[in-house]
Amino acid sequence: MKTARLSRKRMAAPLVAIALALSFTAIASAYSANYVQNVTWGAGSKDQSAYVSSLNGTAISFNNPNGGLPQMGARYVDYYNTGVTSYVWSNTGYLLDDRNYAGSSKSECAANSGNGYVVYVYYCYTNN
Amino acid sequence: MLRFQHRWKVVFAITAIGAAASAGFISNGHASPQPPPGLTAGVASLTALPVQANIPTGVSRFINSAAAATGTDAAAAHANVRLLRTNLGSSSRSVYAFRNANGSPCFLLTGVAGTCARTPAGGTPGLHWTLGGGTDETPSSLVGIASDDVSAVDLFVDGRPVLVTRANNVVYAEFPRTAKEAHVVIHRSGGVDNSFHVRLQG
Repeated sequence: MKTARLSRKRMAAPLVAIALALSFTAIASAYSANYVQNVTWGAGSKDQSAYVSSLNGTAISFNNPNGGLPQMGARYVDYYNTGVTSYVWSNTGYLLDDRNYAGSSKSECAANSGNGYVVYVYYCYTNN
Repeated sequence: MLRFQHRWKVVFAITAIGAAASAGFISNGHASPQPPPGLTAGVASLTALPVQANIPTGVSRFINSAAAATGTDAAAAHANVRLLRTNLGSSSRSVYAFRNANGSPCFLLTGVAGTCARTPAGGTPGLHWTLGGGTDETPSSLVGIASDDVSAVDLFVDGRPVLVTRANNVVYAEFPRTAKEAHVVIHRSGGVDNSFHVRLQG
């Protein structure tokens, strides 16, 4: 009886390991983040998401607390922060960068260096 | 007494001149009116064109995201989507649009970018826009929704004029993704123009 219980445990151990490995793989491949949240940015400020594969767009929500029409933009950058797509810009308060990037990259959102007013960023969001 | 009255007349005259100047009535002897804010002059195509029954998945994703960002019911947004332009540029892209809860147009250039202001009075007077968005395979673009009183939109990229097409309130133009500066001039039928500038490389 004891032997049977032991052998069941021995059989279960690799299965648990496989299940854990699979769940970690799923966590590693599924990425979703508000990588910027509730910050006030001056001209030229920017930040990036984690470096992951197959990013599927960037959404930015922002406001102009001191008036003016500050511009926000999004692009994908490589590991060394070099742009792999061009920025797309807007000044309305909401922007969706609808482009995908098949390889590994980071999503970057930025306040344009020409902005004359600060911008309040509610969020920069990306996922894959 | 006479001297006192004269002093008050001078003070009054200076105050009146200052007030008139600050109101913009003294430049070249003409008033300097401001253009109507945002898209408050109206966007007729969002009423005139038919509602789309079949909405592509990518457009639906934009609607959900834009609706959440602007406090709009996503189902209501899906029910009033219009297809404003098709076959745009080298990648034959389309522009879909809907009005958010505050009546401001939200629009998407498929596969590139979408935007909307929280209210129609937000954004650049006469034109809500996105600029840039090029990749290794596709050029950058200007896409925007112009209000009904916009008579023309001029685009200058790195100092050179770029052809802008306009139909159903949508303006569209393409330019190289390596461009550095864009300058846009919006002409209104009332004769009041405005412009903006974008540093495309950030």
